[in-house]
Amino acid sequence: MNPSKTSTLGVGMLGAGPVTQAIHLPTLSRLREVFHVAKIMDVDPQIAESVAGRVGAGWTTSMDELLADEAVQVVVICSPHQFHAEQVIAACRAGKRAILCEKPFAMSQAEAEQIAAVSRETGVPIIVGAMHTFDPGWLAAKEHWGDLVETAHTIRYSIVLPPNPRFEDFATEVITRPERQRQNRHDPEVAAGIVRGGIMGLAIHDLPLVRAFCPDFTDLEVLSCQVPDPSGYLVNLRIGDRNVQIFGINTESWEPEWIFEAVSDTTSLRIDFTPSYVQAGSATATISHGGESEVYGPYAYNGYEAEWRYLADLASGKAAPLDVTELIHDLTFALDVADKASTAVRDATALTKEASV
Amino acid sequence: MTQQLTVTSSPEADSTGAVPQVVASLPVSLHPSDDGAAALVAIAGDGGWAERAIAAISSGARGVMVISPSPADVAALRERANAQGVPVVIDTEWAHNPAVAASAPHFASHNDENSLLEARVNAPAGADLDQVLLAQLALIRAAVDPVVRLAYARRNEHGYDALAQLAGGAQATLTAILTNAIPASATLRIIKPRHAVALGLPGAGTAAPGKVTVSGPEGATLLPTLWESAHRAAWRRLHDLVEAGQTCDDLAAFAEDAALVTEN
Repeated sequence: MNPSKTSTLGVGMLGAGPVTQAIHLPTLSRLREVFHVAKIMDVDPQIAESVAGRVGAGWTTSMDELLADEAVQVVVICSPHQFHAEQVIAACRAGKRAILCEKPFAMSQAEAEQIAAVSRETGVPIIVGAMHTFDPGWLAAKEHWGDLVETAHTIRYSIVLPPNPRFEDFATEVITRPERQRQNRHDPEVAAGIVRGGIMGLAIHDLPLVRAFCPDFTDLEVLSCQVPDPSGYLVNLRIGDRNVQIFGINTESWEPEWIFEAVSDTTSLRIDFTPSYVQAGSATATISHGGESEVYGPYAYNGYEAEWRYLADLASGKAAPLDVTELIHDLTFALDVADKASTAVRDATALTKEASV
Repeated sequence: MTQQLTVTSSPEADSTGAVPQVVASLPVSLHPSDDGAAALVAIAGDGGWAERAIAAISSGARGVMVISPSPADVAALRERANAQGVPVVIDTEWAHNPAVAASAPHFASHNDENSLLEARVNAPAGADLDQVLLAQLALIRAAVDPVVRLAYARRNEHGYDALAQLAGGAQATLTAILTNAIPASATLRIIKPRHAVALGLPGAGTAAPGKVTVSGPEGATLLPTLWESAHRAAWRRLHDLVEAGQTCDDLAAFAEDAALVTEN
């Protein structure tokens, strides 16, 4: 029943919070012929021990100890954002065979470039956990959308997000999770924080997809930004000559929605993604041309499983590594959107506040 | 017993408003006529439509249907229509779809100053954006609330995104995307923390139903579908108004919406 630990790749996990518990461990349980969990690190020893105990792995509170463990060949980084860059670099220097870093893989362009340099120097391949870029529905669309990247004039990216536990609790039994607090979106600084957090924590999932349709991604202007009730972001952007809107709203509802669209005069692509956490198969992509539509998916597995499969191929040398420059572009694009959108909403909210005084 | 009213229309009105098809689908209520003195007159909304509507009333029309009107000064027409007691119905792309009226009470219960209304129209490439916006404003007015303030975040040959405020204080985002890739359609949605109302509409010429979905903690309900085109519903309304001897305030609403379009 258990494939030998000597014939599968040993995974070390930095951080044992909800993403590890509800996403990566359930995904790895579907890939037992390829991976086993060798060690889990968390700063909270009780969580580290408890989560490791679920999968028969070792545990530690020390990153150095995990990276020094020869049983760990592949490292996944699921720690808080501010530790990502340091940990990716340390894992590269430890000579691991491949690294999966949850998004964002750094918090500044300087950090990202440092990571790229270390990755090139050490030859350790890195992927970022932008799971939708690995989703079979997205990949099928990519294969069939023809010249849409050149012709699209409008990009829409919309998420209606119920509370994560609604899905986490069907994926696993989470033993710790951060609390969500209601915030005053009419305060300019709070609004700016909500938008920045929303872009870097939620929108960032599919900003690489947006960027794929915006060749002039450095020519970016925020036309408007607001925070819907109770929280989220609604941002209108001009990116090159593309009309882009990104929308995300946090609700208490049961009803999720996650849609990406790219539209030209003659072709429309719509991708409906399944919710994060649950193993609910891939996205479904619909490409329409006037009276005709082609539908791709849903396929049996989602982007998380696909990214782990790719990681296995990377670690065993069967797949070519991703161009780290592209990962840097994805990050700098996300940071640019977050910076400009949070500035725009701060200014707009301050004006509204002044007008109401 | 239903009173049968004669209808006359111009070729332009026939073309943009599918008048012959609508009249054929209401054979007891309406009857086509080439007579200049028909009871109901259909007028296409291109330049000079308000003057043509006044002329129709002067010629004895008991009701006027204006199809997709362009922005125009309607003061004189309103005065004449009110004086003569003649209803002038504005037939735009979405507002008369029966699903709109069905959605209205549900939108009303979630329309407050914390609400965000998302409004989107997919229209054919090359469509006149002023006309697209007028039809969208009429839809929002009919389903939710009138738009009282509007500013474009962008407007170009591919569509627009505008930020707006509704009369009740809710915020709104209005989008138009011009493309021939998908059929013309319109959507409205309000998402509240635990509830949502969504309306999806096909173009005015099809009897495919609009869909209203109301959701909350107990689940989601699709309201009963009504397989009637927006054009046909508009003509039933005009017929009923004439039969009841009533007028309507479509022109006043149109004047407010047209002012928003021309100011921006």
